[in-house]
Amino acid sequence: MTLLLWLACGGPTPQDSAPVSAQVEQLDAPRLLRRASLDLRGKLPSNAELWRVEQDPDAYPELVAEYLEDPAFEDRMVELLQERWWTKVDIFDVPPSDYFLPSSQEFPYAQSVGEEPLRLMAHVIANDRPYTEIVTADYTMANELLAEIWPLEREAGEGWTQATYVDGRPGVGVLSTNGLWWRYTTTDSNMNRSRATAMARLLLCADYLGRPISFSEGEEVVAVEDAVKNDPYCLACHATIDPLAANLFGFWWLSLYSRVEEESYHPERESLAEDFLGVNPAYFGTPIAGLSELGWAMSQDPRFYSCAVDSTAELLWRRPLTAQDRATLEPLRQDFVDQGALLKPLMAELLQAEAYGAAPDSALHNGELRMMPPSMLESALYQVTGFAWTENGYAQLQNDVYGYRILAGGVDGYAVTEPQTRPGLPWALVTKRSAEIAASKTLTQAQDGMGLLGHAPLQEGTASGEFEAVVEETFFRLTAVHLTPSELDSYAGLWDEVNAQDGPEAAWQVLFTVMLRDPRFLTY
Amino acid sequence: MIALLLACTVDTSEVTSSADTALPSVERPAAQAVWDAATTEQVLSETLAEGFPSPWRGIELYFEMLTHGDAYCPASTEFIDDQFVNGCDASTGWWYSGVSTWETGQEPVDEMTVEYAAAVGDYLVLDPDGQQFECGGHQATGVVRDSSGQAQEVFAEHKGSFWWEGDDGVYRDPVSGALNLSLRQSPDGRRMEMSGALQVLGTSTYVDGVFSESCDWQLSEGSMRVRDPSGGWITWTPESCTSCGPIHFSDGTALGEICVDTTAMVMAQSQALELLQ
Repeated sequence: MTLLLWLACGGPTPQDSAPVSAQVEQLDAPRLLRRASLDLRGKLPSNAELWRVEQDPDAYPELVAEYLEDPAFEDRMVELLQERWWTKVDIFDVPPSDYFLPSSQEFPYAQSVGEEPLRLMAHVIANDRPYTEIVTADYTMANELLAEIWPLEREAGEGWTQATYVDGRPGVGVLSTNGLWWRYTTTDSNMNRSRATAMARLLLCADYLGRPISFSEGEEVVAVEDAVKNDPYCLACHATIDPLAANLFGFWWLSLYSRVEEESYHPERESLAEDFLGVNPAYFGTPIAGLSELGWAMSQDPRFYSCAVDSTAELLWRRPLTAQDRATLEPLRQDFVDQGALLKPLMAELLQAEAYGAAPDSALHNGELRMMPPSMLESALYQVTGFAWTENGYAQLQNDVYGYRILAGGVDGYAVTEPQTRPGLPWALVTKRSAEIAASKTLTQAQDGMGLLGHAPLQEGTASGEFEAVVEETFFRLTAVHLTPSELDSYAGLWDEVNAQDGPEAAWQVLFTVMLRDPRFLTY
Repeated sequence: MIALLLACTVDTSEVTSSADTALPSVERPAAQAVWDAATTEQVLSETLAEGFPSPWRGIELYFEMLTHGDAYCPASTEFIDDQFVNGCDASTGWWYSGVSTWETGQEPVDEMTVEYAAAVGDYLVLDPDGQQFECGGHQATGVVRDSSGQAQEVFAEHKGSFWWEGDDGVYRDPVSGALNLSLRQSPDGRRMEMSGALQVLGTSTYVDGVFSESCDWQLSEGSMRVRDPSGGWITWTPESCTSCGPIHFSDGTALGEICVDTTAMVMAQSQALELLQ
């Protein structure tokens, strides 16, 4: 009988078998703080902060609270949310040339369009607004470029500020943004259904496309259209997808790739849903007025809040949730709902959970690593070396047109939708090259008292009493790990060898390159 | 079997279910009509005074626009070749970009012949003064003829966005939507069926009805809608052939009665009317 029960439950899967109790090996305080700092700010903690938690691990929550208020937090949220929302893609149906933008604006254009919904969500989170505002806000966020090309009235200010569309679209947060619907497009015959499924996946964690379906291939279109209205198998999904899609007809473009079609909302088409889909706007069985009430309807759905908690946990814990995580997450969900759906307190709780502090080699990670996503690597390298890798105006770790986002383990939103969790050869090549250039850059900066070294290269090298301290402090800053004596000896030996051949500057450059390629720097 | 199912259930005995928690209070957006009956009548009358955009007129504008090119750009008086997707300068000072096609044909259907023509495109054209001619979609027209060649039905479709800043008609503002019309002969005279949505002169409308010659081209069946500034829709259902009738807001609120003359709206399709003389 026991065997039968075991078989009935499908046996233990790697995820299900993960331990959840105090058996999970935890990171030490400095490495945990480094993880939190990178997740919340995209930056490494200072040595002072690392030393502080090393002395007093109880200082961790206080420092996390500070990071949640850091000016870099909002930018970091944009990158974190991108891993789930996938709106920062390289190419949209409407190219920048349709707006007469010069080639130097190609990258900022794609970034701006893709960031619009992410910026709105990041703004809501960073400013302690209720999370419901991401689907009810009567504003969006826009920078100078978007304000120039789209029908927007934007508040004055540099960079991203609040803005309002002036083309008659209802204000329902991300659901009224061009950036979202340019990424999740539709066709004449699809009639917003794919958008409805994207909406359900992103905001309710309801994955229609993950459901098993059965139908004959090669059906005529007419038969398919009939089937989605009458076939019970099809109706299992379409009974709710189609009314959801009916809310989006103001975004139903009748000519793809057309600027004039795609940049504006088309209020007159709101009434076409019944003609083309055969249903009126509704939200999972409840009739609603249309897009203007869609955000409100979501805010009345318990799944909206559960999904916010689950998806934030997955993003911060960097792994799929298991059934065992429910016990941790349910009280957090309840607090989240009770306390006005504020995401920062939730994130603070998630960052103190055992699951977050799990050591890289703990069973919870199932052999997968928390590798720095390219955007995090970029910001961390810039922070410590002043190196920003650009080519033709493109940030090389943020695109795949000229750059290496996918190769560096990132998410492009189309071909790759999950961050890389195990090292590979292309990743090694990209990180090698970025480490080399960054190390070279930090040497240049050292002349000005900046960069990793903070002063001109030590000419005396290993003979200097300062050498060991500099290497130890630098490595600790980069990895939150103290070098062992043998590692320190290895670094000294390497320095001497290169110095003998190419002089002290080259020796320091090689040393920094090695540190920046160390797996303890590239993972977190 | 029940035992098996229970055995697989995750123990959530200490977990409060989602239903136990009250959700944050979020105010339901309550759209209230901004326009009263008088304003609605005025807006609708002004919008329809110049008539609905005509696909026949749209196609004329398309060909007029192409006459300003030269042998190099866009090198055709019927279409913009995709080699100019990023733009070309004609010696006349006009600038063409995008792609378009002109499609014509005829097909036999049920002992009738359907003749059709369509201007399809995604293009942006600038005249020497920088005025825009922009399109994303198509305008199609057609005639169904019987075996004697007599027109039995005239139809047209307007789908997408069209805008010619230099137009002295309704295309001077962006026209957007999906509208089908069909004109047929009936024992009582000609009847024009219109169905679909159009944004014209900044007003969003939806129509699903029949306009009859015997009623001086007023609505004899169906209704029209106009979008209120609140985002809700006002539906006008005139008494058959009277041009007057009640209006209701989306939430069912009665707003009174209005009278709107739809003659000009139908007369704008004059070429269709001529074809079915």
